[in-house]
Amino acid sequence: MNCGDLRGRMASYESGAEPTRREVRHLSRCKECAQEMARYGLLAESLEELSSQVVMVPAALEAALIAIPSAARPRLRAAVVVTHLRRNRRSYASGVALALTAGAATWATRSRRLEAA
Amino acid sequence: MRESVSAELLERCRRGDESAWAELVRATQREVYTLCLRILRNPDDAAEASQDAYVRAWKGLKSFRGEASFTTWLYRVASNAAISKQRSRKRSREHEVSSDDEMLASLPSGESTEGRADVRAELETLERALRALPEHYRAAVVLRDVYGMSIDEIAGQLAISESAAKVRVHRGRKKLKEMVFPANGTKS
Repeated sequence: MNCGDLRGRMASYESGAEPTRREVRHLSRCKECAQEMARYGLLAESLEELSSQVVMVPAALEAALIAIPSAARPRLRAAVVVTHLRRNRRSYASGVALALTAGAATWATRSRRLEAA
Repeated sequence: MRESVSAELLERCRRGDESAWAELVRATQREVYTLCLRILRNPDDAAEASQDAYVRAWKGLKSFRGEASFTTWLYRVASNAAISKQRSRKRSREHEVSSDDEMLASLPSGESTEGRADVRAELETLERALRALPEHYRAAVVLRDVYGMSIDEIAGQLAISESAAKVRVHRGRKKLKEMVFPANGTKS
């Protein structure tokens, strides 16, 4: 194994992965590669540590995030109504048709009575 | 991210309890905003992406089954929102560079390293280097090495193949290493 091969692979090593025997052999006799490996190791540790570093959230953002449920409510209610209408569209359509038929029948009956009178 | 949201709090949120939602937001907002800021670099964009993430989280709470921890799920939602924002924004590179000063003023307010000036200085150097990474490498490295996402998750989030995601992570690490250790970075 030469320095070029090993260094080409260093960036692909995952945190905590053990080097192979050949790599260990090379690292034990190549100070530059060992230093380079240590730099990648340090970089991986530091990146992991960044996950616990957090920034302050702007006050306006916090307020906006907390208000999400109340801001979403009217739209959610409208969505519930639309979904209900879609699911029951056949029943509603039948109901409307029935009402129209009944209305037409009543109107026709009244018209006939008026004509007869 | 450590689990900071209890099952009981989640259940209350699912039932529409707005005070529980406020509690959930307070427990997680800093992590979510920081993740968005790390990907987007711009505080306004990060705030918008955070809002998008929480809107999606609110709508998706009922379908959240708990296979992963809630905070892991929230991270995925947040990174997805940040990456969508990254795609949609059409801002100049100059704008990003000018926003660095604003960012530097806010980063980091470290909890784990408070009082350890040397470590904080190192992490600040790393944050600067991350911000200087090209956008496509930065998102991949941040998601993999800071937030521990798997390569296939990153590939999904970035809408690229797994091999392309791996290449981005590896090249990003290499560039980052060269920036953090400039004197030695190009030695062969």
